[in-house]
Amino acid sequence: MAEFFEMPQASPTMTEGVLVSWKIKEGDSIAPQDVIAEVETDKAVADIEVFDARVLLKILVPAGESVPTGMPIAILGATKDEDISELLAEYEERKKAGPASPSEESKPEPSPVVERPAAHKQEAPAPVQAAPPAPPLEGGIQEVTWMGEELMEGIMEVPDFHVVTAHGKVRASPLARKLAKDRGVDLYNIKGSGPHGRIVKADVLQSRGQAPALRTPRSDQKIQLGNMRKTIASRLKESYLDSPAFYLTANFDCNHYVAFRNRLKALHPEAKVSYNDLLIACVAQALADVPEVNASWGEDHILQRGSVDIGIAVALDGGLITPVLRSADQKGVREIAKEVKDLVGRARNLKLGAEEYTNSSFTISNLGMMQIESFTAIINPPNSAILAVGALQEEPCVVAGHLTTGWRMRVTMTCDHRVIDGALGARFLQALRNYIEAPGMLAI
Amino acid sequence: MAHTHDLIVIGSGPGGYVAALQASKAGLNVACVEKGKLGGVCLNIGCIPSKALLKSAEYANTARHLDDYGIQVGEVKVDFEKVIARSRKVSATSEKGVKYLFKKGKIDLHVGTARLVDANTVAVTGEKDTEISAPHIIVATGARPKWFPGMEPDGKRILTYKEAIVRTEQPKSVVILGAGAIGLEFAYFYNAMGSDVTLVEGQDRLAPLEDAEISKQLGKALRKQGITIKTGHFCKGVEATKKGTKTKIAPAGTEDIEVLEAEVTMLALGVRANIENIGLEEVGVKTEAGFIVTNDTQQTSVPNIYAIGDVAGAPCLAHKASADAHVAVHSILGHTSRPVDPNLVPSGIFTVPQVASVGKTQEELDASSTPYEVGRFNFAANGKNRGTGHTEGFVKVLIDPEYEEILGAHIIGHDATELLSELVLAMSAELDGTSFLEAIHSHPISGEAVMEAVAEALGVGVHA
Repeated sequence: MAEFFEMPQASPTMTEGVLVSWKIKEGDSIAPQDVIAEVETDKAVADIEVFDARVLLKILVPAGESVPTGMPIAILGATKDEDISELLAEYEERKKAGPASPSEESKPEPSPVVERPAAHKQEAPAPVQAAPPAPPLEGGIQEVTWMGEELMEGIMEVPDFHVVTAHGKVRASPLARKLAKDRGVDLYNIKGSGPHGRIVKADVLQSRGQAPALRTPRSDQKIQLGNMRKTIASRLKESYLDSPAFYLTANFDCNHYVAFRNRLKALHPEAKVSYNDLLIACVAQALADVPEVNASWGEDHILQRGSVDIGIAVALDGGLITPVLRSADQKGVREIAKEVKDLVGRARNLKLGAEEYTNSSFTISNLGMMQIESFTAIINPPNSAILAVGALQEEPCVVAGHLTTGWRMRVTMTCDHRVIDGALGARFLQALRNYIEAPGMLAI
Repeated sequence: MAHTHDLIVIGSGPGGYVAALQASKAGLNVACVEKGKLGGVCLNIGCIPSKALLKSAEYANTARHLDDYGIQVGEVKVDFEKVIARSRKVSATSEKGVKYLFKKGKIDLHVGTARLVDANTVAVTGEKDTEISAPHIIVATGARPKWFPGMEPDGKRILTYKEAIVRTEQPKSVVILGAGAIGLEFAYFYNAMGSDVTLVEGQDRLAPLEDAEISKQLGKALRKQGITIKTGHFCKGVEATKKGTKTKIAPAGTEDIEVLEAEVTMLALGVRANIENIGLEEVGVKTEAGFIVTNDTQQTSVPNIYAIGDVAGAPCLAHKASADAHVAVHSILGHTSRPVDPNLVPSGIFTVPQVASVGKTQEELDASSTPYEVGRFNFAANGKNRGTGHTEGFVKVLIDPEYEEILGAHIIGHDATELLSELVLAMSAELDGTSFLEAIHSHPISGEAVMEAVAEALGVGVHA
């Protein structure tokens, strides 16, 4: 079946690419891993490969033109004589619509391509490994996540290659998977030696050899930066240096919060509402109550956002992504739980559309499950604040003059003073306290 | 200097012809030098014609037992000349097939003997003497029967497979030295044809490279068919007489010589690589223990000269040669490919019952103290095989208990060589036992025995 081949997002920050040259002609057959075109991204000139055997039916974008990521650049088919008239018509429409208002079909998705930085134009030594298919991530790079231990594993290391399929899966033999799981080796950190980078037993065994146990003396290692790491470095440095940030810490009494969630769990086990889902619901309502926090700095103005769009930091192996829950204040806890589960699931498989991980209005970062009591996070532009959530824990506390124990949780909000003053930030945390300490308020 | 070709392949057996065709498909201008018939030993005097002979043998034996199935055919007679003639015809057809493919692939065929002049040049002596050159050369000269002093074949009474496979005269009696695949297959063939067969093997069991349990079962089956088997006996010399041959054998480590008299003696003692007189030493191609030394991409010590198949080392099997060919051509084309892993090269013995295996034997695993679980399933317990009467033999798999890696698979019985394929695939693709069992096996087929053996090794079998 004929289909569009879209401008791949060959680097995390790439929004458009210049088609430097076509490597094949219309009518040419393409074998898996053939380079079909050269594309200049914001970082390098990349070879664009195709994974399946196809025929190039039509070149839509001539060499030299710049194209937004996700826009079709060619039509590929299985055989030479396929009818592409419908696709051509659709292409004209999509061109008219433009990248600003992408139609449902044209949302940029991670493309089934592997970026291979070409040796020329590349300042640093080009990594020999294939890079991931365009990890979708906003500038929202926090050093934290709220997703759980399995996701936390990846945050510790920075692999400079992932070989994943178009669906975000790692190619590996069943035996390699078992072996890796058993030995605690992350498949994302292994270069596969099999066809199309398939990881086989020997690769897992070898990777073990390459990463000696901590006790054996190790020499310094120079780790080449992957694109994701480069983005993390530049965006967070920019945010850190640009925003005059201050920090507000609050300690919430969570006895009702825990009871409420346990009740919810008992009454609606199918909804699988987590503490995080409940937290998002509380934050959303607090943002609706104090909309001044739900805002962006615009140099000559402050943009107070009409919609409460909460970014949720999710760790990926070797990086982060912040899927965005739109209009969170309009949604019930169960709806939030359902939607977040879907977003996070797809985030982990690199299957989010661009509009699903960009342009949040506030971000939550949670390291509670890692037993971090409290911490500070760096603001995720274009947000003006980020909430760093610590562990929910039972601890000694004084209530009405009596020493007792109770559930407590510390949060720290990082505020951009250009937008949020101390009293405003405190007002927001007060609003948040109202919901967390009395979750029944959510129903009001 | 301009070369006459992009690639020269010396030899057109299942290594050489596959390499030539694959390179030509990739657009290379390929020359192939062959001194004999296209297709080498395999197509002309090996794998293929022997399968024709063995089918005649199997039919003869089947016909003798058709009464079991309620079919009366009367006395079974063998027309030996016709049996051989059919086999020759099969070879001729196969050779034509390769010829056609060569023509289609525009392979520049040079009939004659090749000799490396330098790292890029090959002198051909034959129909017309010529010199050809190319940036890459693949040596695929194969192997020939091996023997030891005191048992030189004369081609009339003392034979190797080369003579035996075309011999139109049926020997009344035959002594076969060596119980590897070739010796076993000829023993089965001659016995089924009605010859009196004695099979001698120096090791203490038949098919010594196979799993011991398989050897034992095979010995039992062949003895039952009437073959005299003398394992643990070494040959002390063969001599041709007017009427036939005298083969001296003695138990290992002794001089208690026994003389076996027969019409012919056949030597099936393995093969020797064809490394002589092709200029290897002159251009500096390193050899070791009689084989050309190669690396993972089949490159020799001279980087643009590759060696594939028997000449590049054991196992000397046609499919290993073809696999080598793929690796070498890929390397020449600048692609990478998985090196041929000898552990994953399957083997087959086409007697009845057939023997097929891949990976490690139980003895090898014991020797290396590798943990394993054994799964066995008898064909007598398989519904389909009971129906067809092929109840002899079993499937045996050896599986790592920790990760369920399939370490070895050994099958003896009807169609064993075909049944093995899914296990070869499983091992090659690194399917663990549980993943293997997730594949639904059709019913009723002999392959269910394979599935059951794997299940038994994992401790989840229901039929054993």
